[in-house]
Amino acid sequence: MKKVFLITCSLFFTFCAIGQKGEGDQKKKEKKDKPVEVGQFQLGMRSTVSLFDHQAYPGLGYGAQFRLRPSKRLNTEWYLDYIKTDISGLGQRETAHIGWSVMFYPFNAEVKKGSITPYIIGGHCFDYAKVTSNSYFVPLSTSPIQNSVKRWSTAVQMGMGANFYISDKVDLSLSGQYMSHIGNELHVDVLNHHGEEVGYDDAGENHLIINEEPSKVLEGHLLLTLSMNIRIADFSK
Amino acid sequence: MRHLFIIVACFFSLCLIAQDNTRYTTDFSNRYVDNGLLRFQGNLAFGAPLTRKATNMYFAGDVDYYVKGNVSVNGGIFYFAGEYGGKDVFKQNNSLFAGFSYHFPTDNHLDPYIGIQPGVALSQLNSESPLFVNDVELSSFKATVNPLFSINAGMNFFANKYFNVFVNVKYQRGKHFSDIPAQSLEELKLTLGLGYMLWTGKKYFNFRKPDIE
Repeated sequence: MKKVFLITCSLFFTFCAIGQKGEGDQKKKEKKDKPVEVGQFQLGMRSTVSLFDHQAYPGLGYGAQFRLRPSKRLNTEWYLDYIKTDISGLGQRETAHIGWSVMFYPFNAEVKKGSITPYIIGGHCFDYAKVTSNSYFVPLSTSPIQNSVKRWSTAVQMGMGANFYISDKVDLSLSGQYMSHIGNELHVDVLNHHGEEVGYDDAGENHLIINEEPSKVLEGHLLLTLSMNIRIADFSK
Repeated sequence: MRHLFIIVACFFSLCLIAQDNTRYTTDFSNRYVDNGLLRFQGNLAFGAPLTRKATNMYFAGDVDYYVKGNVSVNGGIFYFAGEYGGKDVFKQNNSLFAGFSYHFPTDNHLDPYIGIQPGVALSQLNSESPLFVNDVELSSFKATVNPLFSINAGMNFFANKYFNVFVNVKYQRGKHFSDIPAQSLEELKLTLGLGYMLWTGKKYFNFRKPDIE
């Protein structure tokens, strides 16, 4: 009985040892076979078009970003955008975004020349907006007047895009994201020289009146971004 | 002038297509361009605004660094020297770009490419322009920074160890914002002339490609 117990124990510990060894080998193999995409660091430039805000004025912006990839199917993007929007020739809106997004590659995630990797993107940003009217005279005034309102808010954004790898190191990315602002709304009204509200595109003697109002709905806009990114480091190596 | 730009752009597009078709029949063993090449230039550039009749002149400079995989990282600057044949709309119209270009492989010293460059303009309206007679009391005519988007195409020919000739056509889009209605910065810019290059990297010696004279 004692012998059987000893044999059983020795076999058990032998199997444990083999199991440990196998697990160790597996871990080593996994470490060795870590996807090449993990740890890649990219730097990029971006151009952004802002469309379909609640008052439908398109804007153009530029910015920069870096991307740090924690796993094969996940990437992170940290960006800065500066956008200027023409408001019917009567004023301008300046918008700055600083934020981050996480990118998930559900299909192809391979980083190599010629590969197209579609992704779902979502994230968060801090948003600075300033709306300024052009200068205008009001009756009995001797100097021009300019209205300006600014605000800080936060925003969330979500959308999809794709990377196209021009080479093993460089990709071109196009994404579309809808950004919703959590904060007050900057609303513009167009007034004529009698102080009456008129249509947005009714240019001439009109000027802008800008109000910051508590938002009844989530103010948002679509951002189309074209960016070029180059891999400059690989932190997994 | 505008027709000239269109003809030049069409010509280079056809060149690019022709060059691209050759990729399946050659191994590009005689290709001059390689990674580690640093190309730069400083020349005069011409600009044709697309929303009004005028010709702009610029002092232009750019730098291109070739990385692996037919791609170069680049940056460029256009310093506004004046407007001719128009209404002197701008006092300043300088711009700065940074982006990437894709270089179509060839089996010789030609280097056709296309690229995308986001940028910014530092621009200021000219208060003495006849266009702004009614705005003199209204505006402070201050200089502002405005976003630009541009695409460009061109061709380099690497003639010898240190020199190349090039032509570049750039389409830019953007607006100048101030305290009066925004003015368009949409323009076609043509730069051509002599460029210079150095071979950087460990595999090169004295900034030269070893087997090229």
